[in-house]
Amino acid sequence: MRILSVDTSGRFDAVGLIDGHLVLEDFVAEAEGNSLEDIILNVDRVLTSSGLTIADVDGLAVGIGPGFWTGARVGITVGKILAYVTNKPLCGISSLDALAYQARDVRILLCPLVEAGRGNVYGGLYRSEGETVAKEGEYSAGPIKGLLEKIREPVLFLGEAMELHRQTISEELGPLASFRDSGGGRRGSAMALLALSRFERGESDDALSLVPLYLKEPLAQALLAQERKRQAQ
Amino acid sequence: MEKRSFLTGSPSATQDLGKRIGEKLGPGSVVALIGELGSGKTCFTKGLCAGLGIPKRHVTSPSFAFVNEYQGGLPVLHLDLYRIEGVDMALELGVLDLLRQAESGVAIIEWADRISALLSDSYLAVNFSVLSARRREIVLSAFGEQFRRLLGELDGDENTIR
Amino acid sequence: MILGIETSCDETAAALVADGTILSNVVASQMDLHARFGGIVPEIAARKHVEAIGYVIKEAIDSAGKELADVEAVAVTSKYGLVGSLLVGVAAAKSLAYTAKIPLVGIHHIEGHIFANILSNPELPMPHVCLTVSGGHSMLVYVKGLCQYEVMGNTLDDAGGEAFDKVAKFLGLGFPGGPVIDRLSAQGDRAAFNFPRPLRRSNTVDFSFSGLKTAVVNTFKGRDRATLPLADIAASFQEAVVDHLVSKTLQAASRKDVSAIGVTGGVAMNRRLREVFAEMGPREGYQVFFTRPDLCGDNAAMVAAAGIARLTYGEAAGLDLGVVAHAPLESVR
Repeated sequence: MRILSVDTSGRFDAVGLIDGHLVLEDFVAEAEGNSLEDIILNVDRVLTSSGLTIADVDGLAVGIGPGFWTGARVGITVGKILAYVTNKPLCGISSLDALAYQARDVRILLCPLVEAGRGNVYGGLYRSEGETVAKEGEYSAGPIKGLLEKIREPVLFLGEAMELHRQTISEELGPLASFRDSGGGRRGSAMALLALSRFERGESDDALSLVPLYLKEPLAQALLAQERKRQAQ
Repeated sequence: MEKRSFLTGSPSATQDLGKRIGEKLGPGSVVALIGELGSGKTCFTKGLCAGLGIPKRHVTSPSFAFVNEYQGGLPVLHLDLYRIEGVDMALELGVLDLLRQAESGVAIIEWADRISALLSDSYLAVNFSVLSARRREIVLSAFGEQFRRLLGELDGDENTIR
Repeated sequence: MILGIETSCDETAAALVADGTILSNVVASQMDLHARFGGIVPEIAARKHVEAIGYVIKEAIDSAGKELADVEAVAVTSKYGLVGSLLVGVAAAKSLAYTAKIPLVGIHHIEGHIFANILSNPELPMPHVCLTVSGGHSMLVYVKGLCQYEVMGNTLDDAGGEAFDKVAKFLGLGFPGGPVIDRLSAQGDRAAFNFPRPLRRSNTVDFSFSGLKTAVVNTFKGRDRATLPLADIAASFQEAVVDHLVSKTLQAASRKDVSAIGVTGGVAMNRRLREVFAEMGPREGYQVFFTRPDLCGDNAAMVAAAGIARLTYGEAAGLDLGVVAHAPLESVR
């Protein structure tokens, strides 16, 4: 099954192409502006370099965030309309799931982090199950310390936001914390592979109703709490 | 200097005050404008923008579209959050993304009190009160060292009525 | 047959137009998604473009009794509006154009409104002067010919529709302000208050509404809303707005050799505006052409119509089409 993936929710735009478990392309480029201008050209570039066209794609994977909303909207719209026009199945994949998946070779707790603005992060806790990863609990959105409080065992941090918070993490968790600079280079194929396993289970998402994974409720709560604290000072 | 207040006797005096402040703004500046309808926020903004090298004619109310972008000596993002009802809505509309984008230039935010939770620790708050049909009281409050210094350097008499 | 897409501000819209006929004109806020898509879709509020875009495109095609394969070109609003909104429409349009290998054209939102007027009035002559006014803009455009424009006037501060919204909110009347003030004014005395007419003595044909808005707010601020003669205030305020719009339009028309005036945009639905234009226009020697009410607000049929014209002139966008929030209204080359 050939799967094309598109993700514009992060600092880097990613387009991936797989044929079953074989990775054909992993294209990554720094997101310019809101990712709109280059996205279709990048999709075309990826397909063309494998000698394929959009008609040869059997399924689509789309990054639904969390991350930059404005950017995420572009990829999600492209994914859903490509799915609608080609009449192929679609899976929405979270950026946190894709990050964790890239570290499925690791045997300790995984904690991918994505920037949320104003010093906050989006994060999640995952454990590897060999060829896949399983999420533990809910996604979180808020100050890094809130997430760290839940951790009492060795954990690997990864993702774009990891560097920003590395010092705080080390101070709070000491030797429990380790770090992997994932670089994001394989995000496209990671998303496509995650979609593949969902398609193989007979699952897919409804293209027309696909929406970003906003997590705005917890983020709004975190921002309001920070403001209340500021005003109390 | 943490707080300074001015009285202005006309829209052009309000704009003049804005211009004097605009001239002192560097990249990463956020100016939060708070005041009722008709209290002078957009008028003041025209002045700020004039101080940043943007013709007043280019500066119009962004209430409907939320944001106008201007190119002066620095890129300027002029936000108007009048139609935003809370932090949720602000996040959905990408206000946080916009504020991050504005870090290389200047962000001027009308009705900033709608999203005080999204402001960082460094900004200049400008509060407007209507005293009469043409007179306004404008109170500047500095948050963060950058703006405390700016207020200290600002000349002009307190309580100037022009 | 062209598919138009419009997501420049609050509305998500798609439409199919062929040979000057509107085959479908879908606007998300007016669509009963529950009924149409079997209850799985939650209510689509304003600006929920990502949520609505797939549905409005599908509905535009299905309700016209057509297939995706029948679409020969795509036109999308790509200039003038909110970037975060515009980009959804353009992302969708590009995806469709790429997959179906059909031409794509990016349209300026204001040009869309000018075409709404043309679509509504097949006998509208060229050249003419067009007043386009909505929540987000107030402009006077000399339309020399199809896609040939000269912008004569613009707002200096608030847009017309925006002034309605702000005054309505101040009076506790709800959003959007235009329709509510229009309705309430019918019960009020438009001569009750004499609000200042903006730029009355000015030679420019620009618009200014912020002074008028401020005058209304400052006259009644601090008073208990229950004691205010809301209908009279609404009617008098509306009268001042209409007076300003009509007089500047006539002033602009007198500077050009035209016999026709077009009135378009959301505020063109205002009954008093239509009434005064219908009276004053002919008196000054102009025939006034109004846009159909269903094409006054933001919609995609107008974008499709503009797209057909632009494509006929050979204009087409590449797949690197982007969006821009503020762009001048440009004539076709």
